[in-house]
Formats: sequence, structure tokens, C-alpha cells
Amino acid sequence: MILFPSKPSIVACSAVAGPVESKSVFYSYFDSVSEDERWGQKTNEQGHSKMIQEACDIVMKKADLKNLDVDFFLSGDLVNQMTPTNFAARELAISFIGLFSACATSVSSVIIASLLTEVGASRFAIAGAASQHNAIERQFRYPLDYGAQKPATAQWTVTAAGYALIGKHDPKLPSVVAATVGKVVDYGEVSPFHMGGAMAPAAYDTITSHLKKRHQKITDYDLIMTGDLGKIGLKILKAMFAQTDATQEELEVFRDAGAEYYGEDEAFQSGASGAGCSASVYFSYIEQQMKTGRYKRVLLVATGALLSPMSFQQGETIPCTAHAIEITME
Amino acid sequence: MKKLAAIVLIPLFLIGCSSEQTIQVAGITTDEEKRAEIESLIRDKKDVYTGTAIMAEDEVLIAIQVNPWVGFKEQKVEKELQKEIEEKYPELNVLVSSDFKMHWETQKLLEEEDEKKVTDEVKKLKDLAKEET
Amino acid sequence: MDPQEYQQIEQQNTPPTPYLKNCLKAFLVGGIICAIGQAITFLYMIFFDFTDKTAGNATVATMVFIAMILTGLGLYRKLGAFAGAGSAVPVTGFGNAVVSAAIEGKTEGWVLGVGGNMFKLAGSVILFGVGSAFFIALIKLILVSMGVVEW
Repeated sequence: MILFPSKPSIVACSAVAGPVESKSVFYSYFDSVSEDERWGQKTNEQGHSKMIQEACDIVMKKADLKNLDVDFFLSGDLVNQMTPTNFAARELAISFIGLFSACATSVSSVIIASLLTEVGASRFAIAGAASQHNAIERQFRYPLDYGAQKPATAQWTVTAAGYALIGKHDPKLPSVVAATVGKVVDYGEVSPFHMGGAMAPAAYDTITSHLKKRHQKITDYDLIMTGDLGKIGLKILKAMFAQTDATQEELEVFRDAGAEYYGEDEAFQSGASGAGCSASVYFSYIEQQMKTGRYKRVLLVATGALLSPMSFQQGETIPCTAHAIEITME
Repeated sequence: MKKLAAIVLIPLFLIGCSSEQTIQVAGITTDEEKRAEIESLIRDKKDVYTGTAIMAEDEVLIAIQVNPWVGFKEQKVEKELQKEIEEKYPELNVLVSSDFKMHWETQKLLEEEDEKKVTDEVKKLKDLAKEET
Repeated sequence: MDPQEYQQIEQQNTPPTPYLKNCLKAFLVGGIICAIGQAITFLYMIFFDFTDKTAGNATVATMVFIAMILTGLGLYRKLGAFAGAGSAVPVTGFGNAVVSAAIEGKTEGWVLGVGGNMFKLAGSVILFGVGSAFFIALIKLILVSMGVVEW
């Protein structure tokens, strides 16, 4: 667990999404929604990169900053070697560290950005993550137009990017007070179509360890939001907490971005996933809800499955991680 | 719903299971005896449910359709019948085919009156039946 | 919480795969696809000079062509999500596997992209199809030469 005594603040946020995400229940909180999955570029990967750039431009514009004013750019995505993020960083020309925690990158980047702010190395840092459906599905699963039947546990990779600008403490803004860097947990799940089941133990591990070290109860939080467990993963997580005698009231605190992302639409099976899923919800909906004062203290737990298409073909189980940040609003 | 299914399915079963053989033999110039003989030869094959024989001069084309249950034996039945007829009438140029195309075309030829046209058509169909690809 | 305990919780909360429903859907859609194929065979035989034997190739080509169009329009994906094996097992599924992989590779160029990726999914179908055909023929040859069965 890491404490941030200086309480770095989330100065501004941006969320950009693709055409399918206009069906999302969080649609009205997004800053920009593209009608083109490729953002007018020639390839999906270029579109992915463009989306990241657009999100970063919006977050800088909101805080009235130029890229020279930003000290660090911390980001990641799920494509091999994170080329979309790397290429976006080339255009942004900000000191850049690429991070990979799979879908948990949205939070791990904020943790690093808060640390850099805490030690005084950074005035402003952009942190976040992104994913683009076509590019990611292609890499991890089948070609897009291949007709395959997916089980009810499968999730839909979102096309979205979410970025937060982390700066010095401002009492009027939501601030990061503590964080837990998750361990890598593996309970032996092997199906790449059941990510929720693979990631739930990681989320459980990180949440319990955070609460224990902070000497808190679940009800100290207005909301504990996991990243992309999906409907089934969230159910499993709640069942795990129920096993350890959590009350119904406590279980109400838990929500999952992926489970809610597309509402009740059955075409998306268990819900949304991808690095952009948690990022685009945390850095739009959650931030705005905190600013309006609806939530005073939230725990954002982004979960990530650390697999590659090759690793599960080789019969490896799926190791997962979850990173948590505690955000408060005074 | 059940009633509807019954109405649709029962006629299907009745048609599908009927063991009636339909054997038709046509040939303007050939004599009655030969026709009857060939008809009875086809009729002896119990697996055949439709047989159509077209006789024109020395050319004989027999299209057979076997019961779906013995579809795999189709070519065996075809060969047997071919052999039997060839043994009995070595002077005739016979081809027995279980191909649906032959069945379809021979059905049309049953009505044809023009002898020359029939002969040409039979020759053409025989060539077609021997085509491999 | 140990892994075994967790497996139990996971299983309780994961909806079971509706095998029977999936089988019925596959049966229905697969049957419809095959009926369409049969109709095309008949059309070729009735209107053109094709026989049972020769209409097969033309029918397969037509079915793959239809699958190609549907894949390009993004409709085969929806059919596949509904029907599963019903749309994957007929030759249209093979066409879909080839075409979808080719479309995906388009951005990497014609040779390495389309050419190199085209049989990414269908390649193993070809390999094991040809391989098993060879061995089945070999078994039959042995049986025939031993006099157990006839050709």
C-alpha cells in the first residue's frame, strides 16, 4: 500500500470512444465519440493511436495546457509492444513511459503519476489507457468477421480511451490519497473467454489487502468499482466477499465498469472489457460524479488478465492482477 | 402448433415410406417384348423406386433412383443392373445411371415423339454421364 | 481462500453452457444451409448440363462465394454467433474462415498480409482434411486387398 500525503489531484479528465460505445450507458459522460472505428486512418492500429492522441489533446485543452507544460505521459494498451501508445507518444512529444498491466493499466499509470507528483518530479502528468476493439480482438481471438459462437462469459473489448491529468493537490478536485499495487494472482483459470472468472480473485486479493492495511471497512467507501470483471465476474467477486461474511449492505458498494458498460444488451454477453473500459468510465463518469459530490470516497480497482494468445495455446493458466487507487473529494 | 406439425409431417412420412415402384419404359421402335423384359429386370431390383428406361435404336439409357436408406449402395445397384442387361442383350448399348440429372432428363424424354431427337438426346446424356469433373 | 474453494464459487456463479439449445440451433441452421446447397445443386442440374457428380464442384464454389459476400457484409459473424457449429461445419464456414482472415490481413499488404494470413484458421482444416483422407483411403485399400470389403 502506498500513501500519498500530498494528495495529488485529478486536474482534468477525458474519455474518447468509438461508434459501438454510443450504445454505452456512460455515453453522455464521454467527451468525444467517433463515428469511425478507425478514426479516419488506414489501419485499426493507426486509429487506435489517433484515439489516444485525441484523448490526450482533450485533457490538455481542458486544463489549458500545452504539451510542453506536461512532464510525463504514462500510458499503455494491449497491442503487441504497445505500438499505438508509443506512436501517440511520438506525436505528443512528452517524456513517456509505456506501462503494461493489461486492462489494469488505467490505474497503474495513475499510481506512477501520483508517485512522480508526490516526489515533486512532475507538475502535470497524463495517465491512462486505451483499447480498440478491432485491433485487440484480432490479436487475442479470431479475425473480426469470423463467425464463432462465444460463451455467455465472453466479454466485448471496448473501443475507448480514458486519460487523467494528475497535478498538485487542489481541495476542489478529486484527489488520490492511497494506492495498492496488486500481486499477480492465478487460481488456474484457462479459458480466455472467461476473463471475469480469472480476474475476480485478483480483485478480491487487492481489495482485501487495501482495506486491511488502511484499517477500513467496505462501507467506508461510497463505491468500490472494479474495472472489467463483467456481469459474471462481478457476481463471483460478490460471492467471494459473501463467503467472508460481507453483509448485503456491504455488497451493494461494489460495482463493475465492464458489467454496466453496455447496459443489459445481451449481444455483449457478460459485458465490456479492455484497457479502455475501466479508463473511460473512471476518467469520465466517476470523476464527474465526485465533482458533483455524489461520491466522497471511492476505490477504483482495475483488473487485468496477463495472458498472450500464445500463452493460453501453450496451455498456461491465466495470471491476473488488480491495482487499486483510493480517491477522495473534500 | 402440434396440429400444424402433424399436418406437415404426416404426408411427408407417407410419401417417404411408400414402397411403390414406378418403372417407365419408352421406346418407339423397340418391340413390346423387349420393353417388358427390361421393365421386369428393373422391377426385380427391390432397392430401386423409380426407373426410367429410354430405348432408341440400339441405345438404351436407364435412369434409376434408389431408396434414400440405401443411398450408399447406389452405384452397386447401378453396376449390377448394367451387367444383367448387358448379358441378356449384348447387341444393345446400355447405360444404367443413378444420377439425378439422368432421371430428370429421361422423364422429359418419355413424352418425346420424334425418334431422331430422342436418339441424339440419349447419346448426349450418355456422354454427360461419363464426364468426371 | 484456496483455489479449490474458489473453483466452487466460480462454478456456482457461471451460467452453464446450454449445450442442448446450441445443438438445436446448430442443427437448424446447418440444415438450412445444406438445404440451400441441395437446392443449388438441383438448379445446376436442371438448368445446366451438370450431373450429380459434376454439380458438386459448382455448388461448393457457389456456396463459398455466398459465404464470402456475407462475410464481407459482416453478416456471417452474426450468423455464426447464433448458430455456432451449424454455420462453421458446412463449407460456408470454411469460406468464412478463409475470407475473414484475408480481410483482416489486408492492412499488412497483399503478399504478407492477405497471402500470409488467409489460411491462418483454415490451414489446419486443409492439413487434417487431406491427412485423414489419405489414411482412410489407405485403410480401405488394405481392407479391399484383404478381401474384407469391395470398392
